[in-house]
Amino acid sequence: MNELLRLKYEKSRREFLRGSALGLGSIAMNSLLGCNPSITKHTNAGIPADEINQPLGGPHFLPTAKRVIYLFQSGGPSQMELFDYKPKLYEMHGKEIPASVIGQNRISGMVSNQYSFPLARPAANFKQFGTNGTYMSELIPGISSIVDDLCIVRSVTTDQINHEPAVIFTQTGNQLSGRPSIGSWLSYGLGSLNENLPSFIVMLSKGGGDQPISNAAWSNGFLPSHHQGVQFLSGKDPILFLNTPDGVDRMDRRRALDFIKNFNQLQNEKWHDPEIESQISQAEMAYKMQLAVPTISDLSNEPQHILDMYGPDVKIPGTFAHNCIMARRLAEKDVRFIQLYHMGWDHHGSLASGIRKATKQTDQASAALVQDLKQRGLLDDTLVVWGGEFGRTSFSQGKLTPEGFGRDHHPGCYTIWMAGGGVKPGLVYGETDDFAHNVVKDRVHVHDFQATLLYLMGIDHEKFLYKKEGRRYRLTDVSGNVIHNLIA
Amino acid sequence: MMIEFLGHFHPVIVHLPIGILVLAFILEFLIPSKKIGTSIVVEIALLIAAFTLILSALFGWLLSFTGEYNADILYKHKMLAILLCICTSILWILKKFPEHFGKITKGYPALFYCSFFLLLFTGHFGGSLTHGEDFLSLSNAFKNSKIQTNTNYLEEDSKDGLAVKNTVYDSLVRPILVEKCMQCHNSKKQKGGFQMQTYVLLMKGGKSGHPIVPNGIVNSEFIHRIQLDNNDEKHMPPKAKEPLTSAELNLIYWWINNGASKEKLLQDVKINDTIKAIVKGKEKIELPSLNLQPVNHITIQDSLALTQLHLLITPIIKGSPFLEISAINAPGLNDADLELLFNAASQTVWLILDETKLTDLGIKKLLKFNNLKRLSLKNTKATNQSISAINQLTHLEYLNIVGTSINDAGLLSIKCNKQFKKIYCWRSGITEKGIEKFKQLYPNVVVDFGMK
Repeated sequence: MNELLRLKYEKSRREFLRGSALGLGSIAMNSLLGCNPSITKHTNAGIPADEINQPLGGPHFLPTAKRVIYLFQSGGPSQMELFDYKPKLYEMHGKEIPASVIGQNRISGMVSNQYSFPLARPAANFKQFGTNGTYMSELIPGISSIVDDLCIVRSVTTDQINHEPAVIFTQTGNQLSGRPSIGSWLSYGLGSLNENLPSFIVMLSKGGGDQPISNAAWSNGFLPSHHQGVQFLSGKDPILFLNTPDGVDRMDRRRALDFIKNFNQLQNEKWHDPEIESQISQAEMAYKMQLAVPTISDLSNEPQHILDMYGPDVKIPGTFAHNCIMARRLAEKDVRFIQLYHMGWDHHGSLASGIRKATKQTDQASAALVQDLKQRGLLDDTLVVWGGEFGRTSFSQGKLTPEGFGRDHHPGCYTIWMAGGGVKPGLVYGETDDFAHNVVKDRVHVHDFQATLLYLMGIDHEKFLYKKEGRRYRLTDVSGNVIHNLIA
Repeated sequence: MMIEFLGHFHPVIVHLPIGILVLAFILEFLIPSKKIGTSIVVEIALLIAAFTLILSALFGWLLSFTGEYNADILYKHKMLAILLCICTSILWILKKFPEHFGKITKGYPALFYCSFFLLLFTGHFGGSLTHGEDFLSLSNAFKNSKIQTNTNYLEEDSKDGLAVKNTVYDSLVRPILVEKCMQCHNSKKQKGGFQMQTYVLLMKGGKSGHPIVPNGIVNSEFIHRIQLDNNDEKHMPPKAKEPLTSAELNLIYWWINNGASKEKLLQDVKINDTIKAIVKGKEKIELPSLNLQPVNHITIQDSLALTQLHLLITPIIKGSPFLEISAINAPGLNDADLELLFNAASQTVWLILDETKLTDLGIKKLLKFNNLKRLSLKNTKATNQSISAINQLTHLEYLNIVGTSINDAGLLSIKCNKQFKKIYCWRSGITEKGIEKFKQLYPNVVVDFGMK
């Protein structure tokens, strides 16, 4: 390996000599020919070259959100059953969806051998809620009750039609895994607030569905690995082996860590590998978390009426309700990005019972989280996002039977909602057609949503990039527009 | 190609005769004594000057074929330069063979003075060609940005008599050209013989053919050049300049695809979502701002005490003097510790002191933090006594007294300015009755009492 290192230095020496031989001459030449007064060198995005691949060191402009809680509803919650009231679907139950509505839209392989696409009446009734009389489903009484605090976007569209790529697309801005997720970008760009906890924490709820979710969704991609989402387990202990084993003193641990750190630093002086730095900082973080995490996960000091808000499951580790109260406790501790995943929204068949189960597991706790943050004065600078990776079709997948029908994946439109963090409360944005199939007004693409999220955190998504393998990467890749109408 | 390249030697060599001629001038007229024997030096200097002058004039002539220069100034520069060549050559002949010319030699000093002034003017016009006409103008000395002074060519479009606002060209396309292209493609500085300041000139193009082919992106040199590799020397704008953003490129794309018309009005064309978003983005969006008077930027001393406190001190915006200070990592913070922050008191706009050991005594010290907009005292020992200090914070917008013992009397003694927005008072001594009374005083302030 030493040879490699020597080669590297020699190469740079050679380059310098060659550069200066030609270089000094060409500098002189330039000033003689000098038609162009020297201007600071710009890269593609107008960022000075020395700031490439450096954390931002502060937001680009005044942020309205300091932290994000992303309640990811994995599987594709049906917009027709929850947020997007379509009276036409009740009338036209059993009739074919007009060909003009489907148009050239992509449909998934699961319905490609289907010759008939009968519309299915939504498996829930709607009622008006809030000061604006927003139609909300009877399945989500909790979320409906706080509709005046929510910013509902009914016109989100994505490019992907299958779970894995769609989840990865929503979380990282690219359909293939390998790019950093939103939380990693923010952890990297803005850094940590609480020195005793990671800045990006992930919690998966169990008991929803058996659809797996890949940890590429909270990957650090090409960013230094300590920006990866730290997954809290859904068992009794959110982090295993957190307690110091019997007979080991905490100071022994400290000494051991310091000793290892010295070794690592020696190596680092030699190799300058950022992953060694990640290793050092993560060992340190683990040590700090030994003290910090037990106090977070201990719900015994929560008053009963607060626990009741989140619902009966709140004390069972791993449930969505439990993760929600954990999310609030982590937000109180200024964890930058808290990502929850709830599986169990993928209702290809028996949608009516499936969606009842999923809403029962998530509705009350989601609403409680928003209210709990609000009463603590945290909702002003915490952005809560609730949404999945795509929507569902208004026509039935398979045969249409009264109870047994299902809906297939639909990337053309779906609904998400946000609360706090500087979004307009009480707003319903975007419109879909009578069949909840196409967006007819104010489309919000996933990249637009990501750009808006970054904007709320004070970041210009076009100037937040990382250069790797010869190109610059952004969360929004080469697109995305901030939707200013969503911002208060 | 080769000829133009030779032309590039013009600026390399042109400074030689200037220096030498000036030297000759000084030796001839300003060094008083003839004893040193400068005469031979002047003679040689004149010879070299004449030779290099002719050489650089030749190179200059080759360079002029690139057509990148303002024809008017170029003509003056050329004529003066030729005159200068002739004068200097005669000077040398008069100096070298005075015996052949008799009385004519008496004109030698006058001719020398003439040459000197010719040299000044030739040089000046040369400079104007490369650096722009106002490079040496006095007004330039008082302005900061070179780019701004160079925009008088912008007015030329109105000479077309057709400048209609709200056409796609005028409101969307032209601003991009003005910002990113016209610095080098205008009547004064015609790089590649290409000017853009009017629509007609833009469509006409320069040496490289048609820059814009309506409905034909593939054949449009303009698009081709922008999309070349960054390191390609034909890439536009050149490396050191700011490139077009993808939104700008998309816009021009779309404009060309729709006929690249000058007259089409914005409301008449079919706008797709991408363009709509770009147009919307163009509407001036005010970034959220703090609306505070500027303050001095003091970096807080990294004192040992401050480090041990683990206070989180971060700029609100990158590079801004205004700070957010949070005690999230400093639960041990007490009244005395606040004094460590006095240096940065007026820079602090968000102060989060939740769950600390702070009491009324410390909160009274907050008087110094006159620019505070957000103050959070959640779960501290604040009581009604703190309110008088809080009332002095005239910029306050957000106050969090959740979990303190402040009660109705305290709430009612809070004086809210116009900008005051929110008070969070869950789990404090405040009751709904107190809030009702407060609401009558300040109907616009949101008081959050928590869940019922």
